Amino acid sequence: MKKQKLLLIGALPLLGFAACYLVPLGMTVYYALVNSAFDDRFAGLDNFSYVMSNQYFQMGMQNLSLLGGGMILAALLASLVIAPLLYRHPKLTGLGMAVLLLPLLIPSVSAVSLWSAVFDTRSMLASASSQAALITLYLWKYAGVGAVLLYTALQKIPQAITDAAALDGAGAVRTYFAIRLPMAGEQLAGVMIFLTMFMFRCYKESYLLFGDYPSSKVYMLQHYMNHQYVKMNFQYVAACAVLLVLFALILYGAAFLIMKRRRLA
Amino acid sequence: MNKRIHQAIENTHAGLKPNEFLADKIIAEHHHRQDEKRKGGYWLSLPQKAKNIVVFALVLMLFTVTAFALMRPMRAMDDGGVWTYEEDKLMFQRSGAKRPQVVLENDSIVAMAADVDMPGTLYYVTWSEEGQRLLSTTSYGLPMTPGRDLDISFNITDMVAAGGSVYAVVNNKQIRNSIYRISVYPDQAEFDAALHIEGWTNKRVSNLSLHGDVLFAYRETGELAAINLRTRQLYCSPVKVKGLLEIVAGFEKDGDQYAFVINEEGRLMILNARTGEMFYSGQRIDKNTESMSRDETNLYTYDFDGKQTGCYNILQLSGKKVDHLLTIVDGPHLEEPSMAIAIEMFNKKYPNVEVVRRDILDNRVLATEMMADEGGVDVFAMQGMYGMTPAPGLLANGAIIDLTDMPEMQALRDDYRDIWGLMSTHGRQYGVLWETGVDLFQVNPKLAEAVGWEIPTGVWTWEDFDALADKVYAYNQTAEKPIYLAGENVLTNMRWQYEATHTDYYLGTADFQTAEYLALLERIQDLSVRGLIYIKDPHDLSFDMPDNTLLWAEEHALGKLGNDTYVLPPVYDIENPLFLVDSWCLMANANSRYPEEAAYFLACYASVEATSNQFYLNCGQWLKDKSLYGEQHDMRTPPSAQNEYLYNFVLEHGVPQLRDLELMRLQITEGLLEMLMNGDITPQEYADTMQQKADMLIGG
Amino acid sequence: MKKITACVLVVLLLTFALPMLMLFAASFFQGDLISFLKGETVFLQASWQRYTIMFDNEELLIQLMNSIKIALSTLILQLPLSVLGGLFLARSSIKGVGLIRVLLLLLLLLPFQSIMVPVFKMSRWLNLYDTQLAVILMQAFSPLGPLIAWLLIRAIPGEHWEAALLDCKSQLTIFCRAIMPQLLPGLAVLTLLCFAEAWNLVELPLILLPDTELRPASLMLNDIRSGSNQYAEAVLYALPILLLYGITGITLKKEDISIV
Repeated sequence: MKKQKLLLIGALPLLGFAACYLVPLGMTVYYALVNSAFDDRFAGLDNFSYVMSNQYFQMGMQNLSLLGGGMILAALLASLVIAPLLYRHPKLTGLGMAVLLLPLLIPSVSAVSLWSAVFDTRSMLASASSQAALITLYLWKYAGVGAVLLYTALQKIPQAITDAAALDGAGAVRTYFAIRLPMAGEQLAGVMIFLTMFMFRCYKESYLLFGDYPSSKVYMLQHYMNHQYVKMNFQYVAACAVLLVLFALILYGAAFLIMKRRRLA
Repeated sequence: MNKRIHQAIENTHAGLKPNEFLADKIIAEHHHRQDEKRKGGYWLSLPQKAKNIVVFALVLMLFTVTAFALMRPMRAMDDGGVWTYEEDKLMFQRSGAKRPQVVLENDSIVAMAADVDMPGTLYYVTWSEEGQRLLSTTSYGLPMTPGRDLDISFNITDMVAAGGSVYAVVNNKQIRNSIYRISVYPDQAEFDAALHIEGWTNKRVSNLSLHGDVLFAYRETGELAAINLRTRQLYCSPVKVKGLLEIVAGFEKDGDQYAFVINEEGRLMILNARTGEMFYSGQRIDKNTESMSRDETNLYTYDFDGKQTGCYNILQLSGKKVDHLLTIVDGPHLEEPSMAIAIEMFNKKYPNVEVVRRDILDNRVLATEMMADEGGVDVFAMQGMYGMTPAPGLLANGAIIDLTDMPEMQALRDDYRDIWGLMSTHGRQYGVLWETGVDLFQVNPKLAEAVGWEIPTGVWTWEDFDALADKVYAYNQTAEKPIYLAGENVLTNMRWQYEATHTDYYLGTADFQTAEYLALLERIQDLSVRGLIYIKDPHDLSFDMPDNTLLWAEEHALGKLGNDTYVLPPVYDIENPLFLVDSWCLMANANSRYPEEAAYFLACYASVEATSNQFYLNCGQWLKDKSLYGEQHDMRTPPSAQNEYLYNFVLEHGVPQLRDLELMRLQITEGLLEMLMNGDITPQEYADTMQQKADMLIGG
Repeated sequence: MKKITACVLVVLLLTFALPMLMLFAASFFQGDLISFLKGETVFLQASWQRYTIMFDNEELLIQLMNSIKIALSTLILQLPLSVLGGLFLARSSIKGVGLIRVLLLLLLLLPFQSIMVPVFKMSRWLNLYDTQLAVILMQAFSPLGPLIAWLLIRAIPGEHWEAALLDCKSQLTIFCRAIMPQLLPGLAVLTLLCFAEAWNLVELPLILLPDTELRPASLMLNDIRSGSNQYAEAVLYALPILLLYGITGITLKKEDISIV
C-alpha cells in the first residue's frame, strides 16, 4: 500500500473527529455571535463584551489562571522530585509506577467520595480548606503521571553523559538540574501540556466536591459556564468557550515560540 | 484419563509417600466415580420409604409450580404505570421503566383499580379471614388513607377508579352485577350508592372500562353504554352489540366515543358507542388474547396467564389524522379534569394536533432541549425550587413566551381573583397556574388561651410575633410543662418569605443586607437560644402538630384545613402584606416549533371552563365566582368560612415561592442555619454569606 | 544517602497509595471510618453490608452493565481509530497537520458544556438520540486517542520506517510488522486511558440518554455530595479499571512505558 493510501485511511478518523467535535464547535461559535438560543439576531461582539465585563467570569479566569497555574506548578515540582527518586531506586520503580499511575485511572466519583469526607468542602467557606481539597486532589490524581513521564525521559539520557559529569565532580543534584533536566526539556514540555490539559479537566472533580456554586476561592471558569447554561444563556457559554480557546491558543503560541527559539539557539 | 493425570503419574516426587501423589489422588477419585456409576449411585441404595417421600415432594412441587403458573396475575394500569398482582406481590412498573418493582406483599387482594385521575394511585380490596372486605389505597406503594370496611356481602367482580371514587361491579343476593360508586374515604361510607344514570339500567353489568371521564359499561344483555362521569349523563343512547369478549375505553373522534373491543372471533375491533357500528382496527392480535388494558398512549393485550402479547399505539389505531404533536413536559397528567377540558378546547381550534405528555426530570436536560430547538418541549411546568433559574429569570432571558398581551389572557382578568402576581413578574405574565399551595400557621387554641394570647383574625406583623415569643417565654418560667412557641417550620416560612420578597430573578438582584433580614436572623437566633422552637425528630414522618407547640406551619390544601384554628403568617408591612405561595406554573417554550399553539393551549388551560374543573379544595379558589366550580365530587371536609377566607386572602396577597435550591442547600445541607442557631456565627456573617451566594446565583 | 532517598520515595509512594487504601478500608465498615479517624464520635462496625445492600440495588447493577457495555464498545472502536489518526498526524507531510494537532489539543481543554447543545442537535438530526451508539461514537472520536497515538508513533525513529522500506514496499505491512510491535506497550497505556475516559462519562450520557435504563452508573454515582458515604459504590465502580490496569501491568514491563 502506498504511503498516500495509508495516510488517506488515517484521515478517516480525523473526519469523524471533525464531524463530532469541529462541527459542534463551529455551531458554538455561531451561538456566540447571536442574541441567544431563542433569538437568532446577530449580536456581534456584544456577548463577548458582556462576558468579559462580568465579575464572575473575571473571578473564574482569575482562579483558572492563578489557582490552575499554581496547581500545574505544584504538580510539576512534585514530578521533578519523584522522577529522579524513581530513577535512583530501580527496585522500587515497578511498584512506584503502579502506585503513581493508579490515581489517574480511579474514577472521579470514587476519589471525591473520600475527599469530601476528609475536607470541609462547604461552599460557604471561602477558606483554605476548599483550595486545599482541590489542589491535593489534583496533585494526587495527576502529579504521578507527570513523574512517570519524566522518569521515562530521564531513562533515555545516555549513561555516558552522566558518568562524564560525575568524573568532572558534579554531584547528583547538580547533574540532575544541569544536565538531565535540560536534556529532557522537550519531554518536560510534554509533561507541562499534559498537566495543563488535566488542569482544565479537573472541573469535574471540582463540581463533585463543591457543587454548582462553590466558594469564590475555587470558582473556576467552567462553573461560570455551567451557571449560564442552566440559566439558558447559551450565548454566554459559547462566548466563554471561544475566549477560552483564544486564551489557550495564546498560551500554546507563546510556548511554541519559546521552544522554537530554544531549538534555534 | 486426561493428559494432566498422565503427566502427574510420570512426575516423580522423591521422598513422598504414594498416597500423597497428586496423580494417585486423582486416579483414586476417578475410580470411585466409576464404581458409583456401575452400582447405580445413591438412589438405589435409599430405602423405599425415603424414595416415596422424595417422589411425593417432587410431585407436590410440580403441582404448586403449575398452580402458580396458571394463576392469572391481576393487573391495573394508569398513566403513572402498570400495577400487577402476582404471587401475593403487588408490583408497580412506572411508565418508561423496563421492569416492575415489588411495592407490597399481601396475600389477600381480590380486586384492584388504578385511579385514572391520580397517576400512581391504586385502590385494592382485601379479604380477611373473618370475611371482612377492606378497601385500601396506595400511592406508588406507600399507604395512603386508612383502609375502610366494605359491606361484607359485596362481591366485587370488576372495578375502575377515578378522582378518589371507585366504580365497582358488585354482586350479592340483592344486587345483581350493578355498578356501585364507592368512596375510598372511611368517613364517607354513607355516600356509597349504586350509579344512577338517566336512561340506563344499572343491572347485569359484565364489563367495565374507564378512561378520562368516559365509562363504558357492557351488560350481559349486549347493551353498551358510554357514560360521562363528570356530568353523570350518557354520551348517547346505549347500543346493542352482542358477543363482545373484552372492552376497553378508546378515544373520542368527531364528537363520538369509541371503544376497543375483542369480538367473538378474537379480532380487535373499534366500536362507535353512538351508532353501535363496529369496524376492524386493522391490527392483528395474538390469538390467545384474553384481556386488554391501556394507558394514555398505548393499548396492551394479554393472554390468559396475564403475559403481554401486544402493544399498539392508540393514535395509529384510531386513524385520527395528526399533523404534529404538542408536547407537555413535566406538567399535569392529561387525565386530570382541567387538562381534559383544556385539550378539548384546544382541539376545537387545532383538531389535528395531538397533545401528549412526557417527563424530563433533570434541569440540564430540559435546558438543553429547550435551547436546542429540536422540538419535544412546547409547554412545560416548573416549580420555583428545582435548581433551575426560576420563571422570571427565564422570561428575562427570552426563554419563555410572554403571555401578557394575549387577548385570551386579558379576557380572563374579570373572572379570576387577583392572583396574577403568582404567574407574573414586573407586570409581565410568564405562565398559567397549575397548582398552588399556601402556608398557614395552625394554632393550638388551648395553649393560646393558657398563654393569654388573643388569636389574630387578620394580618399581624413580625413585631407582634416577637411580642408573642416574650409571652410564651414568660409563661414557660412558671409553667409546669413548658411549651414551644412554634415548630421549626415556622422559621422556615419566615426565611422563605423574606427570600421570596427580596429576590428579583427578573432583574437579577437580591438583598440580604437589610435591617429586616438582620432582625429576622436575630429572631431565629434568639428563639433558638431561649428554647422556644420545636425541632422535629428527623425520623418522625408524621405531619401532625405536636400538642406542646403553639404555632405550626405546613403547606396545606384547602380541603385539609377543616375546622382547625389557623392564622395568617406574620408580615413585614401591615399596609402591604405579602405572603408566600408555592405556585406551579405551566409555561410555553419560546423555542417551540408551534409557539402560537403552545400559548393558546395555556390560554385554554387557564380558561374558566377548565379552571372550574380544578379541585379547588386542593389549590384554593382561583375564580371569583365559587358557583362556577360545580359539584366537586371531593369527599374531604370543607374548610370553615374563616379558614377559607384566610387561604384565599393569602392567594390574593401572595408572592410566588421562587426559592433557589442552592440557597436552600447552603442553609440546610451545608449547615449555615445550624451554625446561626448554635451561635457559631453572627447574623451579619450569615447575611454576608447569603448575599455572596445570591449574587453568584442570581446576578451572575 | 541512598537509604534516605529510598525512605523519601517510600513515604511519597505511601502518600499516593493512602487514599486508595482508605477508600477500600472504609467500604468495609458500617458507619463512617473517615469521620472516626478524624476524631469524631461515630458508630463503627466492620461489615459487608455496604456491598450486600448495593448488590440488592437492581438499578445500580443494570447501570453498571451499561457502563461496561459503553466503555468496551467505545474502546473497540476508539483504539483502531486513534492509531490511524495518530499515524496520519505523525507521518503526513501535508500543510495544516500542525493546525489539526492544535485543534485536537484545544478541544481537549474545552468543557463539554461548550458543545452540549450542538451535540444534542446533531444527535437528533442523525436519529441517534436516546441510543447508546450516540455516546459510543462521540467518545470513540474523542481527540485524546489520536493525540496520544501521535505521541507514540512520533517517538519511533524515522530510520525504522526506512529500514523496513528496504525489505517491503507495502506501507501497511511495514506498519503492522515493524511499527506495531513497538507501539504495543504504549497502546496498552492508551487502552487504559481511553477506558478510564469512557468509564467516567457523565455529561454526554446525561444529555443523549434520557432513558434511565440505558444510562451508565457514573450518573447515579455522580450525586456523591448527598453525604451518603458511598464508599462501597466508589470501590465497586473503580474495580473494572483496576482489573484492566492489573492485566496491563502484568503484561507490561516497566521499560515499555514510553509515551514521550
